[in-house]
Amino acid sequence: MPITIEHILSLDEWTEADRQAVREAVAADPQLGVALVRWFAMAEQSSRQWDATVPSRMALVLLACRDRLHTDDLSSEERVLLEAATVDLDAALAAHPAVEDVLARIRSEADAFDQAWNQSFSEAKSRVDRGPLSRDRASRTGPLRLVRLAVAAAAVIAVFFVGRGFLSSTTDAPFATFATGPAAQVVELTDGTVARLAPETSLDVLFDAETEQRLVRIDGEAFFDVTPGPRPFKVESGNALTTVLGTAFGLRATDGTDVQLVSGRVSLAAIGHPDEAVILTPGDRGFVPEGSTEPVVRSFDSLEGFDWTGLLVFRNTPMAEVAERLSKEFEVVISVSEELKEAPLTGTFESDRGSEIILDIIAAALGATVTKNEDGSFHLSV
Amino acid sequence: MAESVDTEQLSAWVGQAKQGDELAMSRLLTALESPMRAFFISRIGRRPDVDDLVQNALLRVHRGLQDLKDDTRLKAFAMKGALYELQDFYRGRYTPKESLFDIHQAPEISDEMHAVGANLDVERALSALSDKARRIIELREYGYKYEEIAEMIGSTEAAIKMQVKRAFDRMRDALGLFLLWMSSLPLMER
Repeated sequence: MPITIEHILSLDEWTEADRQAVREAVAADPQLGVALVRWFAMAEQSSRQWDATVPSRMALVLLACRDRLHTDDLSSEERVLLEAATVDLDAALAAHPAVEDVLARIRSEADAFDQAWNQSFSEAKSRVDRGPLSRDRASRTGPLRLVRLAVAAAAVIAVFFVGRGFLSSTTDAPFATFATGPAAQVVELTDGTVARLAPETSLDVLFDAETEQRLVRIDGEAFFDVTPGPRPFKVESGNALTTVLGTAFGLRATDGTDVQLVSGRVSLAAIGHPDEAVILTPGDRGFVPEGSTEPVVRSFDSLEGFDWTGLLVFRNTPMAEVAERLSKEFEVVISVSEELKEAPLTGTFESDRGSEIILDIIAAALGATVTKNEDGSFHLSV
Repeated sequence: MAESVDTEQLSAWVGQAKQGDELAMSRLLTALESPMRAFFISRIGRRPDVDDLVQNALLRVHRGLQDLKDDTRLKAFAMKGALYELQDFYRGRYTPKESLFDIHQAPEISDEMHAVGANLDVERALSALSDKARRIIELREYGYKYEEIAEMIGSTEAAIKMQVKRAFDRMRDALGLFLLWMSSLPLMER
């Protein structure tokens, strides 16, 4: 099929096949070649004029973020750059209306950075929360600790992406339906969100690329690890709407909607009653009973009823209890020293990582050491 | 991210890293990786480029940390680096040289035609564009995709592409008349 001019002009990325098609089109119509050359020469000229009038990209960042940056945040070079750019800005705006678009875009990017930062450091980041034990304890251990922390970080980051005996799927489609049979399934959605679906669960994915709306409908149980995005991630579940901004939580939509929040923050409301929404924070369990308009909130120490996920979730759980739970899970003796028994731990672990790796992660987070004894038992101590 | 880090802890690591504490620097960069990754994914999606962007943004933090005068201002400092990286990424997305090299070099376009196409008064062609078409072309040259441009100026991707096509057609029609006029001239007058 001959290539059309619309196609040539609308390409975001050129493949070799595109180039070949253009060559053939130009061979058949030499004037098209001339017109294209002129068009691109004009675009390049536009670019040159922009470069001559508009402050550099770095300066545009500084201009767009003036209200977020303090003088002390800037190097001396940046201060000079910003000063000059401020003087040049009016002329640039007059000559190129697109400058205002670029500045607005950079401001929205700064908002997105704020969001990612706040989720990481105030909420969602605490896959493993260190208790009152300070880094002083960790720093005493020297360079060896650095290696242990690196291992720990890698293991935790991977935690949601390694399934144990689950079927695994990914989808590039904005609209998709998943239905599990007798086995659980892990699916990765187009935005990177990972959903672990319990057996006999169906999930409809209804993403809209144009508006960036992210909506899924669920009937059954799932555990979500939601990728932060410019728009909230919404879960519609029969009688409730859960609105998310990058978080990990379990949701059961049978006989009402039951949400257990591991990290991040979600808003939970009965369908049609957004004014009654409640905000859940990590450790909260929100329940919207069938026929009710008001969610009920209480706290939980460990994820209840989500054993099928293979996840071990702790919320400010004393280490003595953590050790007991892990001992039971892995059928191995795990002891902790007196100083560590009351240390609270918050973390989410995938049990198929195995006891040794999980203990290594915990030890790294607590600044403790883990010893494996000859009889196969483990001991954590400071 | 393996540890729960509050902003106070981050500031402490900044101070220690500036004093040469390599462990603190390592912990700081490890802590920053997660929000950096989430940020870049939220802007450009899950692409292989995200790894490079994260790495480069962390390198900026690593190299520039001594310039950070107030240890509590790490967020603004890191944001600045991430935004610089993102603008550089747009610049490199599809430069005319990379995308169109083959067209410029295409043997089917004769030197004469190439010279005519490239040397016609591009300034005049630019000024003949509608404001909207000019705006779109500038944003495109900055490195944004059509769908991003549509979002930025409150339009649809299809409408944006139609604007570009119309501008091209107008230019091509004018060019056709010019070439017709040229071909009617005796060879010496061209």
